[in-house]
Amino acid sequence: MTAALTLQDVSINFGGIRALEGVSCDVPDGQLRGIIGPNGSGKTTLLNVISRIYPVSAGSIRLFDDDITRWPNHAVARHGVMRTYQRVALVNQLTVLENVMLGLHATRPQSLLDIAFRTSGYRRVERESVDRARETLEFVGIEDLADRKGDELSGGQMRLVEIARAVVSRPRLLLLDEPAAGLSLVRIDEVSELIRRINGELGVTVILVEHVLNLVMSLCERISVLVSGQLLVESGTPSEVQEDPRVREAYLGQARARSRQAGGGEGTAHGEGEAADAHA
Amino acid sequence: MDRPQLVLRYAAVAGIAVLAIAPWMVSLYKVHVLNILIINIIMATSLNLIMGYAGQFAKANVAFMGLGAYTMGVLVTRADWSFWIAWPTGALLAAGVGTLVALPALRLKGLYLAIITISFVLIVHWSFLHARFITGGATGFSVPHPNYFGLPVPNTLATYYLSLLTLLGAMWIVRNLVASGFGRALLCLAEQELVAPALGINVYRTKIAVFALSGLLAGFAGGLHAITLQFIDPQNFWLLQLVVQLCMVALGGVASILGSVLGASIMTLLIEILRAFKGLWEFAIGGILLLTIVFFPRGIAGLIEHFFPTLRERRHRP
Repeated sequence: MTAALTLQDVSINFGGIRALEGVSCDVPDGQLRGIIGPNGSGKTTLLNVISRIYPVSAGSIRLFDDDITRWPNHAVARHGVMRTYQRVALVNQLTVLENVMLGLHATRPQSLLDIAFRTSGYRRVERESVDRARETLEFVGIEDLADRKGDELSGGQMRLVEIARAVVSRPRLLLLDEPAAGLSLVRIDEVSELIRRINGELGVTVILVEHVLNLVMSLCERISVLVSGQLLVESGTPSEVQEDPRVREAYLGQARARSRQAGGGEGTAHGEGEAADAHA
Repeated sequence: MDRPQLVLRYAAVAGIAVLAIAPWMVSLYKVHVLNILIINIIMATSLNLIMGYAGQFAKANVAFMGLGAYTMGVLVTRADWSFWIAWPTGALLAAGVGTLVALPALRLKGLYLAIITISFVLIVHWSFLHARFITGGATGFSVPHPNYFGLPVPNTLATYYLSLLTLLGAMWIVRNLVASGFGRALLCLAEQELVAPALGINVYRTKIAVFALSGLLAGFAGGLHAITLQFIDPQNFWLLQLVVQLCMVALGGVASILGSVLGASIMTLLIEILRAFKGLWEFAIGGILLLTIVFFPRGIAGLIEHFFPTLRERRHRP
């Protein structure tokens, strides 16, 4: 099986702080991979490294057959890496449909001259983009929001729009940064089902960073555990990860430091202190 | 096309018709004012592309306009070039300088970019004043009418129609650009600059393109301004004009073509009306800028959009 993504010995320093240290892992094509870890363990940093927002200090990143370690970040997007953000990042002056069309920028280049004079080639691309964006909105189940503006949506709707924007181009690798953060239980189930369909029906390789552990456990074939910038588990099945004493230590050790009771609720919407969700 | 958008289209057609017929109904002086109004619409559009759509706090447009005007004027009067070659040359030069001004915008934001670009306006203005052997210094110089090849209308009218045609061409192209992937990328730069590259938007190229485009429009407007006044005066490309143009964009509405048109039209007419009362129009501009920013920061176009959401400017148009 080919690897969609290969990290080799990736490290990144911010000043004196080593945010990632010697991270190596393979994500096979078509896999739905979860990345978990306590707060501040470097999960989002890892996504930022893969989407080339941060330059790595050492190590290499391969995307399918390309070494993307030194590529500019827009080139990585054009090679089929799309992502969502912990804090939703929609463009409020655009409608939902237009936000989703923004996701096609990478794969459907329009030349300025074609645009300026509205050549037939340009009009065809723009028409196809609208159709693709509408299909994707239907796929996500929010076609009725198409003409609303970004800032007229609820938090949950915004997340769905952002996911639609990320998948409209059928990326080869989709990075989801806490798609369930701040959502109600019902919404979390919807998002979970959506991610399953993106991986299953569209065949997109997904890397899911998430704090809501039962979402990750029920959804992902393989899970990586990141603790203090290092991969504690490179790739394990959900049950392996749940039974791994080191993972329990990393999570529960932290949780014990806070109130143990706080972990009683099952993966509800969470803020900062949800590490205790790990009560395996 | 749905009905509200049709309303906009009819309004645009009506506006163009009025501008096309007006010269035959009013005095030559009023034709002159309308001509300035048309040039101001082009300038407001040029500024709005950078400040409104791309969200870049750059204010060098008045310098681009000056470069367009001076290049054209100098080539025509000193090198005996035909206006028809000198004019686009000036605009292209302004576009080229625009790409240079884009370079600091690749790194700087907000106030810092504003300071750099305003300094650029000062430098260009200073050069106009002091390169006397070419520019004629503070007294400026006269520019002849272009050769209209024996067109059977007065030169003033011919210049007016040239401006109108330029306006229509510019607005058509700008409208195409803002309702496309390019326009959406600009808005993404304005609101979510960090997200833009993750969507495959080449931030550098997009910024350079919008600065070049803005410079091109301002350069063409500068040439038109020179032949409309038949005179080039460095004071026309100075900070006061910059503030007037900012006021047009703020009053009309950022990131809106309709806003550029309304803002430029209202400001031009207002200045014309208040011209009789010395010192009053500067005062009025300050007041308008202040009131706009406090009470309707998205300008008149923003108000229209607020009350009639269906009239919202579309960012896609298949």
